[in-house]
Amino acid sequence: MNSDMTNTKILIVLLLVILLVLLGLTVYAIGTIVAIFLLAMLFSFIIAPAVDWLESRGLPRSFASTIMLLCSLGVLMVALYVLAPLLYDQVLALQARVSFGEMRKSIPLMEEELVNFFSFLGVTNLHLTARIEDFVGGLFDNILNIASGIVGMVIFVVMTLISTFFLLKDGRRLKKAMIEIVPNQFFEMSLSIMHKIDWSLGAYLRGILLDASVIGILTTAAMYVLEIPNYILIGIVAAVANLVPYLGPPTAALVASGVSVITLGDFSQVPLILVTFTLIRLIDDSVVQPLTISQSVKLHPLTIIFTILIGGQLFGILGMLFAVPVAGVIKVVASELYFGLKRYRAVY
Amino acid sequence: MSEKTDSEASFLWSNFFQRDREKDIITLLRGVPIFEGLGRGQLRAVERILHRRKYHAGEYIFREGDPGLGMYIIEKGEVSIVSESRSSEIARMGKGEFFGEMAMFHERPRTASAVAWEDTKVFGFFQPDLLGLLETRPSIGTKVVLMLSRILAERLYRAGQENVRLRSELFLREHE
Repeated sequence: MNSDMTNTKILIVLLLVILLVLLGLTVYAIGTIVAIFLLAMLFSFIIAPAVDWLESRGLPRSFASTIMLLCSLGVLMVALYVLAPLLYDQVLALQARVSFGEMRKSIPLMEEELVNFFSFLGVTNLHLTARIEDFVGGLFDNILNIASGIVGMVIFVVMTLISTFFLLKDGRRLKKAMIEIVPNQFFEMSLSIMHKIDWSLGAYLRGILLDASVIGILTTAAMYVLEIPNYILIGIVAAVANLVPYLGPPTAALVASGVSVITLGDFSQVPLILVTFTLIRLIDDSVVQPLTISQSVKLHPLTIIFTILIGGQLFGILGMLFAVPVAGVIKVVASELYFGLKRYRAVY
Repeated sequence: MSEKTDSEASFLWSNFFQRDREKDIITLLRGVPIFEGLGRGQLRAVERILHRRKYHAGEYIFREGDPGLGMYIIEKGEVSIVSESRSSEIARMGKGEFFGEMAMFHERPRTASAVAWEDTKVFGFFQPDLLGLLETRPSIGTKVVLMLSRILAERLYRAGQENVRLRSELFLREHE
């Protein structure tokens, strides 16, 4: 009996590993299509409660889906219309400060101070000016690259929107069709697991989005009050970096400190920036996250480190950013699957 | 030309049967006490969230001890409700009857097993779908919940009456 149970467990683990490997290979091979589908799923998870609400007011599902999709698109367009020129100006201003501003004169002085401080390491030259110029120039080039790839982007966005619309409109029918092919023996179990995954995943995805938005707004407001230039850019960096636990917030603090040092030419505001980021972190840990993200989705620090490394190895910077949310999604799915199987005594 | 006529005829034929089938389902649902008071359009909305399943004779629909997720309405055939612990049949149900409704409110383990007595077709109506109905079509969802509550209250009342009757019988026997 015991050896039977062990064999079942080994079989389930093996199947899960094979499934994950296949999933990984598929994502790697047809990345763009998978990205469109995943993004559409993400959007539909986020927008679905609003569509449900509109439907409860008597609107047909397809009409409610169209309205919500257009509203989301409108908000996105307005945000882009307001933020994009500001962001563009801020990146240009940052680049100008590095290339022509006073910072160009003060970087060698700072470098000299740093080399003296770390002389015991045998460091003689850090090439700070060239490195900062490369970094900011790269930022500028990336924006130009994005602009030049606008046609590809439009196709990507349109396909994602169409997929989102159909997932919102026919999501339930799709789930019903999927459950129809399940054998009778596993029917109730599959339905229960599917529902629980749907619920937990929706809550998790809406949670991380809400958390990132709150952090972005808090950071932008704090940087604006502290009169740090490029406050919107820093806010966006903080919101996106918040997706990466442990490493994200210090990175955002580092970017803010860097901008302050480049602008002012000294470290006078750095302690204040660090204190502000620590406070935002504390607010996030004690107020925002407990309200938005379930504790059960929290990952072990070691898992987070390896997840980020794997994400970085496979998909570069974007892979590092989205590795932890993807791992969170996998954890939600796997745990609901496991507890579902356990409830129905399929595993012991 | 003939091919076109054939396909048109087949379309009309299948459409005719589709409508016929839909009519049958609506008639069946109308006879189920839980859906009492629902209009035709509302019943069609309910039909969209039901899961149609086929079971062969002797096949388990659910087993005693499994977590309950919802109820079943028999469309065709017969279902036997069996107590595994007592190895006895509690009830036999036929077309239009329903079972497992307690699970609509609580995911408690099933107290008995349901087995298809012959080849059977059922409609599954589950808690997540009822919750979805309450969110998206509250006017239908609340009516269904109200009817379910009435049925359960009625059963509770009858169980209470039975309890009183049995107690008084026991009392009389002890004092004879």
